[in-house]
Amino acid sequence: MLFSLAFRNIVKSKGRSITTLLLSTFSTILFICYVALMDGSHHQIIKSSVEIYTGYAHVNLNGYRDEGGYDNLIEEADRIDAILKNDASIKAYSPRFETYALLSGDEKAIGSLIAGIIPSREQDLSKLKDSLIKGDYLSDNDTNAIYVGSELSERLKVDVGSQIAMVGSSVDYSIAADLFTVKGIFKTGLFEFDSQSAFVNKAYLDTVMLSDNIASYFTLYFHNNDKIDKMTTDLQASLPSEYEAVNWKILLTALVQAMLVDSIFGYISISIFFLVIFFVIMIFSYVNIYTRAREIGLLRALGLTSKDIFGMLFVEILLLATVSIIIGTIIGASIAYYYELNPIVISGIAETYKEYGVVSDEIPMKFDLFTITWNALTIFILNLAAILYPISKINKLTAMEAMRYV
Amino acid sequence: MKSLVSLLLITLFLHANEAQAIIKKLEKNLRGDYMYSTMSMIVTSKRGKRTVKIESWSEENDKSFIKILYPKKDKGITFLKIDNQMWQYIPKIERTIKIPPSMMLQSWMGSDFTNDDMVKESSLEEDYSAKLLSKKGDSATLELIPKPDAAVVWGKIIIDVDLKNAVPVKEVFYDDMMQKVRIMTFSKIEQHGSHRVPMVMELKPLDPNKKKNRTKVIFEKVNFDTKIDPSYFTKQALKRYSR
Amino acid sequence: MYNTIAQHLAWLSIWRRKTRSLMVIMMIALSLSGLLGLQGLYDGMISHLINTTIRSDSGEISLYDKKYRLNKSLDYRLTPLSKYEDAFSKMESIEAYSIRLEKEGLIATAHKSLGATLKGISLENEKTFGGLDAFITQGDYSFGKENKNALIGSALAKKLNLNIGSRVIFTAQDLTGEINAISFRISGILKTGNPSIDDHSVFVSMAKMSKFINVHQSATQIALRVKDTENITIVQKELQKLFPDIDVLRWDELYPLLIQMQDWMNIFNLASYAIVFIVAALGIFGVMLVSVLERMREFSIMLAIGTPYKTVRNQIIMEASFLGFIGYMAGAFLGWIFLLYMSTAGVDMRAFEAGLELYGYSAVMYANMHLYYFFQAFFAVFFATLLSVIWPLRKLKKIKPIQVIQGKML
Repeated sequence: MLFSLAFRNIVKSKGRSITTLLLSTFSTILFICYVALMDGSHHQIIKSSVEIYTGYAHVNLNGYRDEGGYDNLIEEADRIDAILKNDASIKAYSPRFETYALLSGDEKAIGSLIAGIIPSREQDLSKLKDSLIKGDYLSDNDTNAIYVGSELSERLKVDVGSQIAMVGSSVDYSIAADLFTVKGIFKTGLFEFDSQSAFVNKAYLDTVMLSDNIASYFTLYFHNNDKIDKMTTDLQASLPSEYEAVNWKILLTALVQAMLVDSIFGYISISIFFLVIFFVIMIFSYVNIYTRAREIGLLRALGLTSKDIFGMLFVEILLLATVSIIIGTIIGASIAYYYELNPIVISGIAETYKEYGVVSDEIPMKFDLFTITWNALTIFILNLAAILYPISKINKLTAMEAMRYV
Repeated sequence: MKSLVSLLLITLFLHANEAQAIIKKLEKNLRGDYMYSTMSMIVTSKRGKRTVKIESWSEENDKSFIKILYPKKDKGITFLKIDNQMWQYIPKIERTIKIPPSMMLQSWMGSDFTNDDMVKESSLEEDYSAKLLSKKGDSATLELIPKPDAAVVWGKIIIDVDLKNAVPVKEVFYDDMMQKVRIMTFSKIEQHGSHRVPMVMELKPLDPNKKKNRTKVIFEKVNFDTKIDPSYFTKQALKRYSR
Repeated sequence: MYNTIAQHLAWLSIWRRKTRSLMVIMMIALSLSGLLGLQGLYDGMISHLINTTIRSDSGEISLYDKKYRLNKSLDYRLTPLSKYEDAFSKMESIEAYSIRLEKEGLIATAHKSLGATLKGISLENEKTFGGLDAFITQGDYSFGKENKNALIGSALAKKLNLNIGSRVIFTAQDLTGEINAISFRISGILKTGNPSIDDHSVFVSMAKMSKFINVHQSATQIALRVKDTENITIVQKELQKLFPDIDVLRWDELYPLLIQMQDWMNIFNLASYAIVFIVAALGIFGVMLVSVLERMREFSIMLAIGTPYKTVRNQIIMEASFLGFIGYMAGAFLGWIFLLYMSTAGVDMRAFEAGLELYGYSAVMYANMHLYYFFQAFFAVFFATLLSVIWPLRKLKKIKPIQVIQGKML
């Protein structure tokens, strides 16, 4: 009976019902899209940094990240390789040997990162191949081929086909030197990276650096990168004790923090909007309820308890809120889904913000069911909370006072 | 009273002077106008032990030419240092490169010496003020504090000197906060021509991360008295004398 | 006379329904104070960034050799200084100028070496130029006796484990390509919030720098402060005419990102205000409409006894205005308190220091407070209230007093 009363009330108070419906629906859509856009852009920035080269997770020897150098290298790369191969949660992985060496086109030498990679496996793990702008990417049979960043090639004044001398130190500290031919030039958009990195086929670099079966670390992707913390912990359990598995959240801490700050500000901004919505719904409900004061008084006189009144009024808002968030969620989620697949493009944004690590002009939305659900739930609860005060006030009146309400 | 103060001052002055004199004698003994030597450098680290054999020619403090004799992989690699600059020639790729300042403070060939050590060999006499800490018979301990304008990283160096032979026995290097950073010991004193020199030097870093590390240099041949052809100290020398 | 009646009645009417009125007032007050606070904070963050850049780096205008910014070689320097200094002394709008000679190289202690930039400056100059002395966190703003010591950026000092009095050496190539090294002690540590200084820079006297890199009467950068922002472009054009062979660039040309950030923020602010107050208008509308509808009889009687329509209309407008105004005052006051707190004590976000400094923000944020925030807010509330009464007034217009009194139209 309460339900039918509530329903009838909704239909009767068109003004209030429609306003509440529209507001709640609009808020739900706005909230969902706003968060989707915010998360999407953060995700994009992090993804760019992670996917261009770093990778989602690393396996390295304890102490490698603090010390670097040649003191904490993985010296049984085949053993780690076997462990990772048998791990069903890992989608792709590859060893890398990184060192700093001098590169020179003529007499002037520039310090740069030189990394030995397995070209065929790197394709799935980083954007090195996709960033090719001139010449060719490396292949697994290459010997003296070197793949150079665009800014670095400019500083060295070399082009595809030029010869570069590399002088560095082998794993045993003897001098490692060789001549390489530039096979290809890449441009990832990450300025720092493009001006200080060069890549060589690991199989060949191992002969120069004496790093056979040695790796600085393994980079890897999980099948389920979204649950990366769990994946990382599970992986750690299967590694020998001297090794550690770390994911991008630790590898790129500063970036993660920056995104977090931005999110916090974003939520604070939109909360102000919700504050207003909350009050508007409250005001409309309040007005509506008091307009029916006499009717409510009558119902009380007829024997309905305040609990019943509470129930009836509550069901009203419950119905309104439920309908709004269902419609709002469907529309909002559709928009989020659409713009995830077809990101908004603001041309020129990558160029301007390149120092901040923005590499693409696309801003995708992030479609995430969990986020969408709690977004919708928040609006739902907002609605319910808005009515508590008006209901409590009306229930404080006795039946007689209510019936005589002016 | 006044005379006591002035006596004290004179003593200190003499001490300082004496210390400076000791250092001067030390450097004169260890360095000559010319020096030719061959040596083995043994580097011990976490990775094991590695031996490098080197042939070296130098003039005064500012010019030197080094050639690697062993291991076979590095044979023929040459280094030239003139004043504060250093070049390297690698026969395998037939290229000469100039070592940029950023690499200067990196370790030289994996040893505990830095490129800067090899290149600067800063003069103790020029860059430091010496003070005598103690003297007993033939041994003395000196404290070296860098002169205000000297471009050296050490806060101070404490040297134990063998006065009879005018050679150092032990050098302890301190950083600017007066923490010990590394220790160099000298042994096996021999006479070569007009100089008496230690034939064995060992450098040990005190960094807790580098506990196992040490670098030992053993001189095989040493010659101070023959003039060295100036052609060794040109960039052409790098390639020419590589073979 | 009728207007004072309208005012009086309006005031009384609002307080007849205390709860309703209070809800509207709270809605306006809370959202307004939130908006003001956020606006101040964002504004503060960006101004701080711009201000720091201008004070510690580019000034309003910077002069460089045309090739210098791409390739920081000493070959691309501004010389002789006298020709520039003469020109500056003749231009009134130039408030101060700063001459800097810098070179990248290696800074080292007994334990560690790092890449850094050594900058030759004049302490007096930088003080008048941008108040560099205010950034000292440890030690003194001086190069010591005989101008031999140096000032260093805080992050750099931390990485090298340096204190006041610590000694470091700096190695770099001079003009002829020779590698030189000098040593100095640290007499002061600076924290500017500008990462290129805090993480990479060491300051020494111009004399010491010139001698070190063997370059005289020259600068790699000359930065200018210009009185009054309107003059910046004029000064720029004048200098470009005088010195056509070099780059004369404004701070926003050197750092276009800053202007962009400012623009985005302004758009965001405007949009926030617009959205929030359109919705707030809805809230006021809800209350006003009901308030009018339930007093139809009352208004009809007033009209019947001869009160001019205008008076009744004005009463309603004033009711909405009072609600808006009180809401505005409460919100402005609350917002003012927020801003006062945030602009003096600042918002401590040091837990996120690493992330913030990545983008050049300082870890403790200060809000700005400008009068125009409050004016902007006033207009927002003003329009919201006007918007909200349109419909209720239409309802009022349609009243046929006699019929209402008779109970035939409700």
